[in-house]
Amino acid sequence: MEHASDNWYVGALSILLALLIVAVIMFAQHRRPPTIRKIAGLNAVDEAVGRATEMGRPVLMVPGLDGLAISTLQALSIFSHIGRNVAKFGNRSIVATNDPLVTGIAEETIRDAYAESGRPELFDTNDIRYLSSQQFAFATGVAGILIRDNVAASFLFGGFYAESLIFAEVGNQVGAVQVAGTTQVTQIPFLIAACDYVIIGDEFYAASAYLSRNPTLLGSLVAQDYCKLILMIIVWLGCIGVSILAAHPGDHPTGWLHFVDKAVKLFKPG
Amino acid sequence: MHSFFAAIPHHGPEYFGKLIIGLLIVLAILGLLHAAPKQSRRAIIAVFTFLGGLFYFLEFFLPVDPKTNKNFLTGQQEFVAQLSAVIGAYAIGLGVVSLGQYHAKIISRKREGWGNSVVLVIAALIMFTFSILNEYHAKTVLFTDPFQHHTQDIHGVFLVLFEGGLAKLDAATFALIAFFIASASYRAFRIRSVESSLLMIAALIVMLASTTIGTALTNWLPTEGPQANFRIEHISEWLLTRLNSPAQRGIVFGLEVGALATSLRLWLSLERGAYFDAEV
Repeated sequence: MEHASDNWYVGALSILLALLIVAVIMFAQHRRPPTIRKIAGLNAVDEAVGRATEMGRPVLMVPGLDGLAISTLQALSIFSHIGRNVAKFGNRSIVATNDPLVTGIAEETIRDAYAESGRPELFDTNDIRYLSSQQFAFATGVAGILIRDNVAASFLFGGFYAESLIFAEVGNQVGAVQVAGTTQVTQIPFLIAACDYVIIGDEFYAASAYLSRNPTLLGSLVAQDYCKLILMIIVWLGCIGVSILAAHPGDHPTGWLHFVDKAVKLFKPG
Repeated sequence: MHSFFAAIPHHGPEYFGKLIIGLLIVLAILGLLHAAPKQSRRAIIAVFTFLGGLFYFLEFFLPVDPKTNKNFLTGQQEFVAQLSAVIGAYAIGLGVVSLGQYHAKIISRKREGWGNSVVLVIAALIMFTFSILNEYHAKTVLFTDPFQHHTQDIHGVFLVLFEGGLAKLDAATFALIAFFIASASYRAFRIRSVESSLLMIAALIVMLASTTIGTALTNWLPTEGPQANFRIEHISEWLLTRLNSPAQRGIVFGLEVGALATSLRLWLSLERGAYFDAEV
């Protein structure tokens, strides 16, 4: 689907969801912010930072390999909160990136996190490291940091691919507490197998709201739940519709079956 | 606008003239941005972010010509992509400088592992030199092999470095994953709870169903009828298509909605300050 006109129903649904998200954000900004459930993986973030400080070892953050993408910006938003906590405890934050553009943004993010915590003198530009844009050169670079800097807490948030297991297993070998979250569904099992805490699916996009309690982000989170509810209803109706059509086979459904057939075809891919 | 950005040969006065003009324009923009007050800088960034997003939004939603499947913005996508590539090119310079500074400091202070930094700097310089030479003087002969009496040109050396060095090191690192999978699976499949037991049983079934010896275990069951459901390959398929796929799709739904919400917040600058500063 290259344009909305290829399947205007899906285009209209996108607009509806977008308007709903903006409306709920506006509502949350001007009214009481909503409360959200506990997410174990995110509760572990502060615990891991505290443990790293007690051990006198640094914290490593990796914003994935997606370059300047939404997932990376979301990861940096999470790192902003982690960076503030690390700075409060007077510890070191190391950020490893595979994209020079992301390096610049990460540097600003962590610098501001240290400044906001009242410890700007602790920020070291050399701790925000561009390693390589090559996937496995980057992977070995991160593994090297984990071992050489004896990292105590490792946060892997963003888009990860085959290299995710290298990060997670080397982190495990050095005894680091590892919290991970990725947008790549195929990597979630590897991270679950190797990390201490994994945030799954849209919890990744909920993380910054959960950690910062910013009304805009909380509103966005609630809006995401409304959107998922709408999508779930569509999926349920689709399942019921397809089941009804399967029970009444025929090339040209008539009467109310024709209506069901039309409704099912609305959201069929292609 | 398009003629200025049209591809031209990488030599001659026109090429270098445009290169210098482009550099001067970027430096002027950077200077202006740097001199602007913080509040105005934020506004400028918000405007450019909105315009960038608006371009792709309109390109997707505006009606298209049914014959060409394009609207009047579709043709401009390459131009907008080139603008992003130019910004990325400047950032590569920043990345190289950052990397160079970091390793130069390690070497000059002879910190632990400084030898690794020396190797990295030398390797980067050699690769950089031969990549540039390969672009402009690929056929220039570098030396003649005294034993086999054949010539070696710059392109050949570049291939040795790239295919023989970098690609092989990449493959070796990739191969490490096989060992890491073994150690990670061992920890994950240890029976400690109901969940890990279920995980282990499911993994065992799927793995066995992918092997000849695994399918032989239930080969005695009929291929048709209700009993066929208990053949290991059918159980494996059921696990993959009826349990695994729906769960993954559910996760993808959540991720995509999350990405939509985050994109909207960034596009409309609803969370200015979420990264760098207090909310405005």
